[in-house]
Amino acid sequence: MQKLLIITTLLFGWQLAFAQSENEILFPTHELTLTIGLHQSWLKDSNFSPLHYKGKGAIYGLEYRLSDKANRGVFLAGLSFGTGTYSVDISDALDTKFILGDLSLGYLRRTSNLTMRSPNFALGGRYHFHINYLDWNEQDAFSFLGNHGFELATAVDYPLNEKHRFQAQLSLPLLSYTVRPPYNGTDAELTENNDNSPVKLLFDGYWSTFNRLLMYDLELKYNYQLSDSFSLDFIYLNRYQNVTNLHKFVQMQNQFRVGTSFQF
Amino acid sequence: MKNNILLLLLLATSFFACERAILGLETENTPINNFELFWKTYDEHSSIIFPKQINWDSIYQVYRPSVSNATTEAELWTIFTEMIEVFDDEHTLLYDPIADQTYVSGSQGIDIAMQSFSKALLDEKYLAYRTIIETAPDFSYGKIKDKSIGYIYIGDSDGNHPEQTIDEILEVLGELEAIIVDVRNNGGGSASFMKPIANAFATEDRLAYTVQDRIGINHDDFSEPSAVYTNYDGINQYTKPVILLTDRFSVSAAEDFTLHMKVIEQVTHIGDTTAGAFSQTSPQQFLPNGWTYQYPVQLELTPEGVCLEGIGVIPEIAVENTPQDIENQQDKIMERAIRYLFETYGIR
Repeated sequence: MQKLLIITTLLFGWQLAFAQSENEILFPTHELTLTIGLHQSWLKDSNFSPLHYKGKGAIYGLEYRLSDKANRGVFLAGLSFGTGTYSVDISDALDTKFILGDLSLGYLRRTSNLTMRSPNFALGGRYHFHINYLDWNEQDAFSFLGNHGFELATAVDYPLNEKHRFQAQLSLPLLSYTVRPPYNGTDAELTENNDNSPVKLLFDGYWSTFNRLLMYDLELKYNYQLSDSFSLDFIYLNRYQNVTNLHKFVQMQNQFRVGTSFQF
Repeated sequence: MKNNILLLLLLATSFFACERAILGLETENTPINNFELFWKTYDEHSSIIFPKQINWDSIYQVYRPSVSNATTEAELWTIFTEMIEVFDDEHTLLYDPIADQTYVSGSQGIDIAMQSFSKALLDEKYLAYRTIIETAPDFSYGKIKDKSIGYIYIGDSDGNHPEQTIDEILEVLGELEAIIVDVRNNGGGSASFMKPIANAFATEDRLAYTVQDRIGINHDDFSEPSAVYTNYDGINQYTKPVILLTDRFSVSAAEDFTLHMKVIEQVTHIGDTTAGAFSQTSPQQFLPNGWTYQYPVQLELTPEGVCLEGIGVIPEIAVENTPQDIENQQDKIMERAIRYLFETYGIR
């Protein structure tokens, strides 16, 4: 099921890429986007619990885009941070807090100059660090997923007219450095030497590819131009994570964000 | 093009309706499933099945037939508590967060130990004064009445700045001829908090114990040993006679502290045997019915290669208080320590 979804999305992206328009348009060189929104998710983390969890919470994002003068290359940097609560059906006593964070740096190259009323395809790559940390009852139980992904990214930019614009981006990690709890869920050395905890959480992992980790981020963005410099953004992000090493971790997350972009 | 956009939106909204397809089937909340998961997790993760030579398979054979899907929650609770009692280990716990009830394996001795110790009695009868340390929840020091003997009490193995704290204490008590360090009724905490306190009494670096993590499904799958030393830190060292006091409720990090202190030459260990629960515990594990449970995850060995899980650290001079002693205003362990310092070193 998951693989089918990914293939469908990829094929759809390629189909858009081959439809080109002739009306080339200018594009702002710098764009800074600030977003706020809600997210919901389903989670199963066998290191943490055999139960299925439903999560919800708030998320905040900041993104910067830099287009080169020829309008062909786009540099992207993104940062987001979210908090929330996972819950189960049987009792509120098992509500589990979590935080998630993302940092990404990427470069996309358009196949042609950006044109109006036509899908504009871009291909590139990005480094994407993601962390998800779960904490029940002030660390009586905890788990985490940290992943440094080196991702293939495809994007479609579709300016419908001067006011409305639609964008989609799909990212898939080809190679990842994944950090998960050890066999018994806790690293004694880490818990006894709290000074080293953040570093270990970030870098005590293993290399993985599709055999042990399957992830994608699909972002759909609608952009309404308010003025020459400001736009209003509506963003939907669908994220799937499936880690199948020592402890299985599966999560599907949907994020809905609204924001504003400043173009300069 | 419109069709493509519609398809994409349809794809996005379809994600909301496929939890089961994404996560797979959830383990159903039945007594049998809870039993199987409970037994299997201990089998594959608890670090004390191997050193204590527990026949965990036989526990399965004994208790599995008594569980059916008609078993009530109360019956299942009783079965689980009986099963884990075989570990006789305070780091093996069962907890029902919904009903807010807890069962600790091997905890019978703790209740008596709690009643066999009284800080109030110490203050009234034995101490000239007690100064509370603010950076830790239950850390204080003082002086024995009319004696050149200092007293340090650590009732909780957690807090901040242990190096600085013990140095400040030893600046006050350093001139006295001996110090009694008391970790009775210490329920544990962080070994990294306790180690610097032990270091303040060391005269050289010495191996205190080794630690191995359970890393696989076989009962004897452990990582390579990691050595833990008592280290001479060279700052405000106290190298005169030291008495360490323990009881049955000196648990976990307090027992690691005891192992640190035992390798220091001028330390004499007096009191009751410690609890015998050394290893760090797992994070809480969940069952489909919402109960949680824990188990030890390490194998800890003395420098001689002996595992003291379930045994505890045996003092050189064994003395035991009873609740009746405390009621009679007598702390036999403290009195034995004072007498030992007089008889051995002539300290008055």
